[in-house]
Parts: sequence; structure tokens; C-alpha cells
Amino acid sequence: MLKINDLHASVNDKEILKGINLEVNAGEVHAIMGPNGSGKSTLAAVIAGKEEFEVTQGNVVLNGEDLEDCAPEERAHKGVFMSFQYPIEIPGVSVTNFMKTAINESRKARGEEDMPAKEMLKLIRDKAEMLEIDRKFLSRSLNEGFSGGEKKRNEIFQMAMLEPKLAIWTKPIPGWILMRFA
Amino acid sequence: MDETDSGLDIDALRIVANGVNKLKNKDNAVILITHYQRLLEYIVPDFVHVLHNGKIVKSGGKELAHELEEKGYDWIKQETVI
Repeated sequence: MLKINDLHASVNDKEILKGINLEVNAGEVHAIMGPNGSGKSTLAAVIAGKEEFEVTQGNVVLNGEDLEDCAPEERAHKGVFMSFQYPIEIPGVSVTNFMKTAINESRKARGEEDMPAKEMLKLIRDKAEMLEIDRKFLSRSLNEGFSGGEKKRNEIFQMAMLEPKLAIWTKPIPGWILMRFA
Repeated sequence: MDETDSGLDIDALRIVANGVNKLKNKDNAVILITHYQRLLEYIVPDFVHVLHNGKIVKSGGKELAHELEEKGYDWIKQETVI
């Protein structure tokens, strides 16, 4: 699924990542931990393709394809989901409409037609039900006046709808890693 | 530890945990990138990696996170120096 090979990356000529090797296979959950300033945020940003980071050596390969020249939105279309990618408030654009647009953009990028409206509605209904998201939430303006919990609910809903191959959950919920060992 | 992080939103944590657990399956993968080893809810990782100074200096199973919770990061930093 994801293979990171000897990845070095810099910001403003300062080297932050100094040779990361990591392999993530389908069906796996990986946690990346580390003290402040260890490079965690940079690693997330480089996988997502943020442009302020320069990869100076090594590469990130998704399903056999080197992502080097892929912009963040192309990576999203290839199945990389990153939490907090769309934190913007869009008055007048509902959660539902945003999701329709996001799904159809991805389909377009893959050379597919728009999803038929009926199918889209069913998908939205099914996923909302699975995640216990109520209908009122779906018609609210994207992120406008959302609480922290509602923002996360919206992100989980995006993940459910877009069905990414690789989901990366990162800040801004500090310390949020959720593990319990029974 | 940074005290500003103590007011963390449990509601948001639960939403993410429940959602990720429902959505993960044999065909997708999840990477959780985290600050602290505070172990709050229920996403159990298969692998834990410790990043230090731009490199992965230790990898293990979920028990590694447990160890970090008990011992902090200093022992890893020291091991790395040696």
C-alpha cells in the first residue's frame, strides 16, 4: 500500500526528516509517536504532498506509484485521506453538497462520470446511518459554527464517503491517540 | 508536557475513534500521528513507530505505546545516542 524509502525532507533548507523508512500494508493500523519536534507533522505533510516541504532524497510510493510529482488533490484522488485537510468554513455550502462535489471531483479525475443523484443520496444516507449522523447535520453549512466534535464528525463522514485507501489522522487534536489495552 | 493540551475534547476523540474503527477494513490502512502516548480510547494499532530527530528509531507492536506511556521518551533518546 504505502512504502516510504529513505525519505529526507527539508523546510527552508533545514533538514527535518533524515531518512524515514516505513511500510504500511492494507488492513494495518500504524501509530507514529514521538516527542515534540521529532518530525511527525512534517512526515504527515510530506505524505499529503504539502508544497512547503522539499523532498531532498528518497520517496513515497503508493501502490507502486511514486507520488513525487503529485499535488495534494491528486493524492486525494488516488486514495490518500488526511484529517484536517478541509477545515475551511463555507457558508451556504452544506455538508451534503460538499461531499457530492468531492466525490464527483474524484470520479472525474479517474475518468468516470458523475455519480447518479439517486445513488449519491443512498450512499449519503447509508453512511450517515452507519456513523449515526443525523440529517440536520448534513444540511448545515460546512464547518460553520461547528464544535470540535462536529468538525471531527464531518471528517469521519468524509472518510466514509470517499473510502480512501490510506487515511492519516493527525493533529490538531493533541494527544488524541486512542488506544486502550484491555 | 504542554499544559495547553490538557483540555482535550473527549467528545471529538470518541467520534474519531468510533468512526475509524467502523471504517477500517482489510483493504484500507490507517496511520495515526500523535503527540502523546496518552491512551484514551479505542483504536488499537498493529504497529507503533517512534520518531526522533527525523528518523524512526524504534518500531514495535501496541505494547511499545504502553511502554512509552510508562517511561516517556527519554530512554529512547538515550538509546539512540548510544
